[in-house]
Amino acid sequence: MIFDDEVLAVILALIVVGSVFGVAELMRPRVTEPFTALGLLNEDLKIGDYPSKVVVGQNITLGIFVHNYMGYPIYYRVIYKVGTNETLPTNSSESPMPPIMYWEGFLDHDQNATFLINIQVYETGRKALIFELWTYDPELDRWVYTGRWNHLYVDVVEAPIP
Amino acid sequence: MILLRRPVLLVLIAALILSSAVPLLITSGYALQQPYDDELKELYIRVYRLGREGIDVSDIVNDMNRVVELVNAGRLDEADKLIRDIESRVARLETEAGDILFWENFRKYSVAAILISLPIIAYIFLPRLYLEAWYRLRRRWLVKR
Repeated sequence: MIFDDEVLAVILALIVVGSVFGVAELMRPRVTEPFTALGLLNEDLKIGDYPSKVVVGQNITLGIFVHNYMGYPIYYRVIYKVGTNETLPTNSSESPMPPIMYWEGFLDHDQNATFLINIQVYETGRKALIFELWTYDPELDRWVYTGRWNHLYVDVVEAPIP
Repeated sequence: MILLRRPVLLVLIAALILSSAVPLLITSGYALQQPYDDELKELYIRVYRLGREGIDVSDIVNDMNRVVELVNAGRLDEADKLIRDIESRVARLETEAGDILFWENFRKYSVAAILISLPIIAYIFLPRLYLEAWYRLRRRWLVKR
């Protein structure tokens, strides 16, 4: 093997590039784009195949997925509301409808939680089942709407009279 | 003294029951009971600060989730015990946080220093090592006249 100046220069160039990338990777911030995520799943904890027609008071089983990539632990709350297409939340404001139930927990950075929930609807008509993700802000000492939300439209019908 | 008629009294009692039932309806589901809610909030603030500093709190966060499950399942004694355990671990981490962060930074900057010095080390020692290896591999060779 010939080990002349050119070969040494190429090997050194590779080592320099490798060490620069190594240092950059080591020094970069842990999280560059922090985010949280909320997902609505069916009772098999999969996307799709959601119920579309339910009876008043009937138990509806759905799955909830929450992910934390904020760079620190979060104390989250998934709030369930029933509304219509006019009372849906936006990315900046929550639904004006009152909360009916909520589920809460803690997630460390880059952790997620998936769990089943049972809910009911007591009003007939075309309703939107709204799920909002809130987190507790220790600096403000209050719950803050994250702007993450999901909804599912269902037709709620009266129970058939036997 | 105002005497209330029986129907009026019944209406008032019904209104009282209904008004107290509304918050009950709203906070049902898996909501925590108020004392635990406050206790966990306080604990969370401490864990959040540790997490932000870069201390590994994943075990503590998992246990705090376990507390939520225990409270929702009505196993309050176990929840209390676990909260006390978490509190002592958080307190220990708070006192050790300075040392943990110092050694974590020491490790990080040591690795960075080694990575930065690699090209210089390679520049100085690579030709020497190559020559050393070259001579060792050929030490049994005989030179022909």
